[in-house]
Amino acid sequence: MKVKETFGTKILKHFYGIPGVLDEHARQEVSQIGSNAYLMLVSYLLISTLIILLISIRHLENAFWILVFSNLIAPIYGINGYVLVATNRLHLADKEVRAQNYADAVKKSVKRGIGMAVYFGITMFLFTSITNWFIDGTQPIRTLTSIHEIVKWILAGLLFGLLMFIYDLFRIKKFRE
Amino acid sequence: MNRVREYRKKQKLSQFSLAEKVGVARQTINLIENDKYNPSLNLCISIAKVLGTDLNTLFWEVEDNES
Repeated sequence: MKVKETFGTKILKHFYGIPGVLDEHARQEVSQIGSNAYLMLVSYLLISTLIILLISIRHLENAFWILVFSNLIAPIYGINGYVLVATNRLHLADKEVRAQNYADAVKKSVKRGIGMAVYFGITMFLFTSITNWFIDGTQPIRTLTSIHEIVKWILAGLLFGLLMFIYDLFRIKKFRE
Repeated sequence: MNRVREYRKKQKLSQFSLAEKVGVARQTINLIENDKYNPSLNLCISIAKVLGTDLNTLFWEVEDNES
């Protein structure tokens, strides 16, 4: 019985890394994980804001950079890390496939890895050209035509795609009926 | 303990097949069969329909002295 997924459901599945059906059990677990992540985020925001306010009294510029980097590290590595560990612990992110469909699932993972490699490489390449322009005034066309930058982001894309493929492969669970 | 596994095997269905018919993940069926998850009423009804039985038969706990 296939139920048409709403846009909200697709967003939830994407953020929590859930490949299959977002059924009532998965929704319940995701809701609990999301609540815990929210509590962690609010606690972090309150504490970090207080600390930054105290630091900024004497060291305003340092406070700014500390705030920027901690706001990158805490949500991305801290809270996303918790969500990743929690979903994996509950096996919500597992891709269960029948034994006879395992080869097809691996092929899909390879295609996905290649897609991610291309997406990451191109996005970061374009993003770098814009950030270089803001930081040191380098014209985007110079970055976009730089062989060094092109090679760098091709290699970075390949590495990212490979890591995503390996992660996806670990998520595939062969199931014999 | 519910009788979902017993009736599923009577119908010669795998957990995968039952999950597909009902519209949930295989893991959810496994959790229900092992009494580790309490399904909603709607899900219970869907499972009972697919297994060709009723809610009482599948999910009502029968005390030993009643049987």
